[in-house]
Amino acid sequence: MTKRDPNPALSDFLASVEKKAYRMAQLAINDREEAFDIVQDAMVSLVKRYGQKEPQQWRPLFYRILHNRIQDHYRRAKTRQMVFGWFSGQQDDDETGLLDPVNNAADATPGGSEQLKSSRAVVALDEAISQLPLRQQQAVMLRLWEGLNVAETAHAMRCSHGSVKTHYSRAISKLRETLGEHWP
Amino acid sequence: MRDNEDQFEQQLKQALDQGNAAMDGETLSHLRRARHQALAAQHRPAYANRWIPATAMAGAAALAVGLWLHQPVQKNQVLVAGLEDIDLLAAQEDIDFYEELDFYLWLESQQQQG
Repeated sequence: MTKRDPNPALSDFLASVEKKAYRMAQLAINDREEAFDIVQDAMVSLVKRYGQKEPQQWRPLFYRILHNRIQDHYRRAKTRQMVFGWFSGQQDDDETGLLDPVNNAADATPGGSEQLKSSRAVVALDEAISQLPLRQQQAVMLRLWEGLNVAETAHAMRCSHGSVKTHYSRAISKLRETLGEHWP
Repeated sequence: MRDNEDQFEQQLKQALDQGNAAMDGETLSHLRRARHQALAAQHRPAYANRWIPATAMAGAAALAVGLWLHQPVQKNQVLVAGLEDIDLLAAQEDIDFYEELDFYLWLESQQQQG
């Protein structure tokens, strides 16, 4: 016998956003377990605090909570990095993310030429996005991928409409520059 | 020029979607469990959690004041570190207090635009 969801609409909504939410978190913080925790935390928060709201309000609220959690994690990681950097007197180059996304994508999933090209495009894009500043990542993910409008994106990012447009424009320029003619 | 931009953006979106479509079973299973746990939390009381941000905030403030009072040497560095902690610890409380209010303001602005 299958267990019934107490709130099927909310369950469907979470199912519709969980994959994107996880990838947004994973690309932003580059830590699989932390990304799962952040997504689950955002889900719990939405369910507990906004589960009774109108379903059309869930999406912007969920992404606002998710990106708050990501920013909190980012701030803590930066503080830790500063403290450990201060004690060790050096910075870990691996954490600066200075990798060539196209070269890094060279050993992607093997397969037919079209599939390989497609897999390499995905890996290269993920790498390029993870190198963007957090705010630019958020603008691209929310505006382009999730399809939120400027007002909804500004709400999720807690910034002005103008800032969203600036971050988005810079992100697209940077991605075009990074991925260039090698992509897709 | 605009067409080129649109095409590039479309390619970005498609590649992001492809990445989701290729997500492995373990990740999907993990996300499914997270969703079920979140839904199960809907009817769980959260009285204890309400005090955590306030307690953490008070603790951080006491710590910052203590450090400030007892560290006359390199006072600025300690104070800055303490204040950063306050900011971090206050983040959750900030969400609790203002998230809903901001959302209503946003909804109002949406209605005005519409």
